[in-house]
Amino acid sequence: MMRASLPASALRSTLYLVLLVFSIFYLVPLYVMLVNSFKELDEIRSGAMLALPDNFTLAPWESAWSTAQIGVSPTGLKPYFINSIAMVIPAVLISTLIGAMNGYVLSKWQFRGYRWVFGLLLFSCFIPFQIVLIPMAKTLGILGIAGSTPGLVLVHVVYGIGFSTLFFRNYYEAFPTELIRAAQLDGAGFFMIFARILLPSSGPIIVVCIIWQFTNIWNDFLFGASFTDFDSLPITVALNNLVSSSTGVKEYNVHFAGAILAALPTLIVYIVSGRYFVRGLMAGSVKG
Amino acid sequence: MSFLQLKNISKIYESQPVLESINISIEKGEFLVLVGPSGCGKSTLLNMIAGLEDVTQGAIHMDDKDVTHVAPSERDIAMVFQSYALYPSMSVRENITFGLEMRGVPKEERNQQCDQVAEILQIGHLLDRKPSALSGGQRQRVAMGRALVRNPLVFLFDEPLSNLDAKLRVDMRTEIKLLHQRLKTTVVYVTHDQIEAMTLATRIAVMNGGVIQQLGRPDEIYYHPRNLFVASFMGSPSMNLIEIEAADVNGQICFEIKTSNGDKHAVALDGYKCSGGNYVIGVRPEDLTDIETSDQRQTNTLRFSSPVDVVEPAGSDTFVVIQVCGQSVTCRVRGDSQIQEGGQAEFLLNLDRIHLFDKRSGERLKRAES
Repeated sequence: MMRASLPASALRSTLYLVLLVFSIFYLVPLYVMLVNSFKELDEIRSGAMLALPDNFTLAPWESAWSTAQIGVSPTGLKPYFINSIAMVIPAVLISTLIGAMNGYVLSKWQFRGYRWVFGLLLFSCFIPFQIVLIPMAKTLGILGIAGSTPGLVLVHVVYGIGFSTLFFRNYYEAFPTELIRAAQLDGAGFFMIFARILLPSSGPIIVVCIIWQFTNIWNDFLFGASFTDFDSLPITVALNNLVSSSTGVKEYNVHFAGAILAALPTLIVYIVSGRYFVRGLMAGSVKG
Repeated sequence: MSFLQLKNISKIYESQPVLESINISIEKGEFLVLVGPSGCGKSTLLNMIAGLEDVTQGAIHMDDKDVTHVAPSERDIAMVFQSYALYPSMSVRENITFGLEMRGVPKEERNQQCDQVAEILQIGHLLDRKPSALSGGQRQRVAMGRALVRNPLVFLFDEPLSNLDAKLRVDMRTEIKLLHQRLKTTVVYVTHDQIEAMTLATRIAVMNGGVIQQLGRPDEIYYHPRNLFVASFMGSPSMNLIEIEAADVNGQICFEIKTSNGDKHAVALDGYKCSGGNYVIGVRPEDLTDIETSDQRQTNTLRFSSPVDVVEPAGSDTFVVIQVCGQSVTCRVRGDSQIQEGGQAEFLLNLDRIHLFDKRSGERLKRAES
């Protein structure tokens, strides 16, 4: 008995050790950012990156938020944070709603050639962003919304539809068709069935879709850098400008604080609803 | 004029014929059961009556109106689905009244009608629950309530009992029958269970391969099956079908019954207009019994003894398997029968109840009334 269990427990300890090493490996950058964002610049220059701050200060955060030099103006990240919020909320909601509608049609109101439409929508998930930069810029120009927040919203909605359709199609595929038929007999029409029968049962997949879209759109840099003007830049681009527009000294503490500020919303979304995310992904994949 | 008429209906799905020229007329208040093995097209036919599937050819008339291309919600029908199809996010009351709400019935009136139906079905105490908090039988009742509250011209049932356990199924069967007697609404009911069909129907349509094999009252179907398919599908245990070679002797059709102990018994049947050849005779288990069980009123019987292969006690009856003409044949005897496996027993074959089928076409041969 003893001889059999000894290697087993050794194995287990090794396993935990490996897991611990990996956790530290992933968490150290965050730790470094967090610790150094509360230090004064002199303290950072003196070396000890891993040490806790000697003189705890909130000044870098204040600077990153409201006074730091972004490009040519000393506004801090605040206006760009607001830009990002104003862009991400409509983009996420619209792409989720359209995805839900697409999924509903592609699973419950199948028409001739729906497989092709679904296939092409899926294909759109795999088109590299760089390929469409120029045609997209042209389109935005024609529509007269180039360099504006609504333009960026449109780009993200178009790009989000592929994934959001995939999520909802797979989820609704497992939804019993008899319910749709029962509602039809009860006299409910296309939109009524969607609003009263399907949407109330779509909680998990809505959460999945929102988290997915939110993270992707919030973190996007390429579209943000390509399709916006100076007054509609999203925070990811502004962060880049903050780091690159130096006035002689690199303010590492301000940069760290700014980076954390830029990552904060996605972090919050994950912490608040991460549980539903995993659960919803499972529901979608297993049943679909 | 019939209440619900299916005129020459055909359905072709992806160039595959699913239903072929179906003609059924249903009178008001009738309980028609569509029965058949899975894939026979019975559910498709029901969905077409509901308007959930397109009719490839033919017409559906309901209450003297052509409804072939009318939307499901405009047809004044209600349907109970196999899976009950209760809306998961709504309470029982909302489930029952959803159809009324869609038709713009004021809330006050909706609730009143819902309460009435709930009383009929004894689900008053469940009205505030969600479907997920109900048992199978309760869900079944709610599904029926949803249909009842609409007070439609025709009720459609799509295998409504097949998700229930055996005991509950029998209870609900009785309740559906009671409900029909009370409300006298027209019902079209789909099932693959021939006992459900026999017990509920005023008329049965036996379907196979997209074609109606026989349409008639339950007793007609049972006592005069039109062909081998109907004969073997209806009845449990199913009818014994024995292949024989017959000869025409002075206008009587004659053949031999051989038992496994080598005995041969000549049988002659009157009233058939046919020549010798290959036939299949059909004998229901209850028409092949032992002396104890046999009905004293039977006069035209063949008595023979045979070795017993298997004895299957089923409580109220016992089923005995013997060999006739080299084929296993089931006999139905009393539940307390003393027949032993491996022993010998005397059997009585009721010759008046023998069904004769043409082997090649499978059609029943008509027997002249004597």
